[in-house]
Amino acid sequence: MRALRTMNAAKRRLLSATPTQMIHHQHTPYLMAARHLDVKVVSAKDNAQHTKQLEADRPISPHFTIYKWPFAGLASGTQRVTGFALVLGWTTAGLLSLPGLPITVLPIFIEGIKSVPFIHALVKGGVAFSFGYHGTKNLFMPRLPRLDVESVHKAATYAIIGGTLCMGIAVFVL
Amino acid sequence: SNLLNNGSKSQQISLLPSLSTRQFSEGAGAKQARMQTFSVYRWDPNGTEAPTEVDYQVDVSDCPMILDILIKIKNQQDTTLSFRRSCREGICGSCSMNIDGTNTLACLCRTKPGSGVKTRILPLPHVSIVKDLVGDLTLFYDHYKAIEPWLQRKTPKEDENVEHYMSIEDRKKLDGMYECILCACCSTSCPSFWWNADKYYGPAALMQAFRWIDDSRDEFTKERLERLNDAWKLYRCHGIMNCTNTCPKHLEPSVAIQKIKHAIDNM
Repeated sequence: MRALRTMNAAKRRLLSATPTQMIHHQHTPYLMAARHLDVKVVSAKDNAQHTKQLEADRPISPHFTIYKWPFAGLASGTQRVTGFALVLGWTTAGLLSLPGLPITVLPIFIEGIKSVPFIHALVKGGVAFSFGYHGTKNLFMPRLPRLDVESVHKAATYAIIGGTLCMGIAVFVL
Repeated sequence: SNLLNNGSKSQQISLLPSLSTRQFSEGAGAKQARMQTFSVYRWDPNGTEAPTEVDYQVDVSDCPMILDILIKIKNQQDTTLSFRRSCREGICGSCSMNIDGTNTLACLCRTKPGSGVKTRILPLPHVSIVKDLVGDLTLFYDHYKAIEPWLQRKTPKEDENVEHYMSIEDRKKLDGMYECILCACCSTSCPSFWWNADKYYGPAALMQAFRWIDDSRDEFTKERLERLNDAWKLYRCHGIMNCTNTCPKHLEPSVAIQKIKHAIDNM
C-alpha cells in the first residue's frame, strides 16, 4: 500500500512537472522506468472459477492419429488388439455354452462360420494368430533381462513368428 | 609478417582468416534460398475458432534447427505464434514439441534437406493447450513433486562438516537417470499417460523416483517403493516403449521402471 501511495505521488509530480523541472529531479520517480499499474481485487473463489473455466475451454492436443508409431509401439498395440480378440472369442464360446442353453448352440454357431469359406479362414486365422502372437510375446516380455528397445524388438519379432506359425498350422493343416 | 611488430623472431599466429579469404566467403553471393513448408498447430484462447494447422513458407538456408524456424516465423511472418524456448542447446527442456510425429526438442531437431519437404509441428500429444504450441504441464509437474525428489535420511551424518559419502560404484548407478531435463517428451508419448494422466505418474516421474530409490545415500527406499505400489502410479506401464524411443537425451525410462517393479517384487 505504501509503495502504491508513493508511486501515485510520483505519478502526480511527473504529470505536473515541466520538462525543465524533470531534468532537475534528483530522485528519479518510480514511474520513469515502470509501466502503468492497475490493481484489480478478485476473490479467491472467483479467481479459481475463472481459472477452471479457462482450463475447461482448452482443446486437447492431437495424439493417437498424429503420432509416428515406432515398431515397439505397434507391437504393443497388436498385443492389446490380439488380447481383446481372444477375450471376445473365448467369452462368445463360453456364453454359447452356458448351462440352460441347448448343447447344440455352440456347434451350430461354429458350423455357421464354417459355411462361409472367407469368414471361416478369417476367424480361424485371426484366432490362431492372436493366440500365437499374444502367447509368445507374454512368454518373452516378463523375462527380458533389460527392458530396452533392442530386447523388446526381439520379443516382438518372436511374437510375429509365433503368431504366423500358429496361423499357418490352423489354416493349412487343421 | 611478425604480428607483434617488435623486431623479434616470434612465430606468426594467425587468429583470423586472411582478408582475401574473408572477402571471398562473404562476397560470393548469399546462400541460395531453400524454401520449405512448415505446418504449425495454432489455437487462440481469446478467439472462437477451433485449432487449425497453418502453413508457413520459410527459407531454411540459415536455419539448422526447427527452433530457428519457429523464431524466424515469429520474427518475420507471424508475431502471435507462441512457443516455449530458453537455452537453445538441448539442456533446459523448454522447447519440447511433436515434430513430424515424434516428440523431441525443437532446438535439437534438424531441418530436413531437400526442397518440397513439409514438416508438421504440433504441441506435445494429449495435453491441454494454453496457446499454439504451449501445453499445460501441470499434471506432469505434480507427479514429479509427488515422488519427493530430494534426499531423505533417518540417520544423521557421521561428520556434520562433510558431504554424504557415496562410493564410485554407487554414483555410477545414477548415470542415465540424473541427466533427465524434465522436457516431458517421454510422458507425453506414452498412451497410458494419455488415458490416465491424473493417476499414472508417467516415465519421467517414475525414472526420477528410481533415481532416488537407487541413491545409496537415501534411507527412505522402502517407503518410496511402497508409495508406488498400487494399481495406477506404476503399473499402468505395459512396456509400450514410446518413452525410450523418443527421449531426446537418449535415456531409458523403461529400464528404470522395470527395476522399480523388480525392487517391489523383492521387497
